[in-house]
Amino acid sequence: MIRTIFIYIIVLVFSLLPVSKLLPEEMVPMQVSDSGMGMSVKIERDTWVVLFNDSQEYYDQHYVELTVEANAKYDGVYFGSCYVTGNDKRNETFLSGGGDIYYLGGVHDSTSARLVFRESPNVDVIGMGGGWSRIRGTAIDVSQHEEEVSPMEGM
Amino acid sequence: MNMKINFLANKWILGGIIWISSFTALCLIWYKHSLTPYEKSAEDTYQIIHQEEITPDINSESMTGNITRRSAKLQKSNETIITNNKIVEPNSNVMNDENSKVKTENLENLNASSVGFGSYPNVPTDYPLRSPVWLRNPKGVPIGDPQPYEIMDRVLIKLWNQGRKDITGASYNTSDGKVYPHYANTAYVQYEKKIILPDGNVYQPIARVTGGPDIAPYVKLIRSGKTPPHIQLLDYDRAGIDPYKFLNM
Repeated sequence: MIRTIFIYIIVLVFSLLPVSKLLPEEMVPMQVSDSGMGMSVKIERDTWVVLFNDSQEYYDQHYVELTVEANAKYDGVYFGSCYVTGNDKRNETFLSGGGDIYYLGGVHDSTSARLVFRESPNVDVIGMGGGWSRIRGTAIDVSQHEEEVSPMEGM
Repeated sequence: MNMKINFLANKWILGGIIWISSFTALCLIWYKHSLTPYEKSAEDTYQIIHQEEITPDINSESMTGNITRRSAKLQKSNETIITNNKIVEPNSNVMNDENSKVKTENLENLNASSVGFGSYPNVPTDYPLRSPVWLRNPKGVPIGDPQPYEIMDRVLIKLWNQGRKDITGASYNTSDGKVYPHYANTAYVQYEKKIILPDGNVYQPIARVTGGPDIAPYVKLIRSGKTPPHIQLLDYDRAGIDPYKFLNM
């Protein structure tokens, strides 16, 4: 009897795990590219939330966030973009509109792409998203230390 | 215990362990052997960089290349004069004139922009940021074109002179040609298009948050609409400085 209850609990816990993954606010780091010396590129996304016939839900949480960071010791340049695609729609956001951004004394730049559905009911299909970026930097004060990080990811 | 010993004595197990050990040893030898030339190359590069750091800027190439060549020429002529015991002494007035002329040219060259922006501005003694690019690295920042860095440094120095004491750095967007100074506790935000919700409310989420590295801990809060009171938000599309207008270039 106790063993049966125990097995039920185990099954219940494992069956609820995927549900917890569907929480709309949850941001999952897809890929972090970190130089380990103060420079990083990070892409995060929410999980896909399937909302059937929910007329109250106007926009969904299909969302990708790209963060580029260099600490204050770096000067350098970066560029990149992130995107989400779903329901035959695509939203892509370019850092700096497609050019380069130079920086002095470090930088933090976080950009995001989001799909907005105006139709109701809001029925999502499996989509994809991701981003790419490249940041380069030179730490003048650390023996001309130069580094570059760049992730690329899809989902 | 006996079973364990039997298991370990199994010829396949022993063979496997020996094979893995040999393979690992071979891999290590190969790894060490293949890395040797790269290690040598890295060491040479480090020595070259170190040597460049030690060597005074006045002797470096690039922007001061003319100066170096002139100095070398002058030194050579000096040596010639000394060794040949000719009429002109190295310490004569003629030589002093030549020296002072070269020195003046040196100073003029060092005060002129390497990318054609004219003479460099004076750096205030209390300027808190790193020295501008033309002072700390006359060759230009190794990555890319030195021009954007020089523009940012010029804008920051002017802002400092105008009384903005909270600058921490800057960004230069090549798409819109604007410099975005990084101020302490200040973030630039860009918004998505406005969405009118079914209940009539307007929803306009933030598409981008950027600034100096000090804003990193607050970005999630800013995005969620809970900006801490000490953080100031500036509209990225309306802010930014046109450097050419600002610097009268």
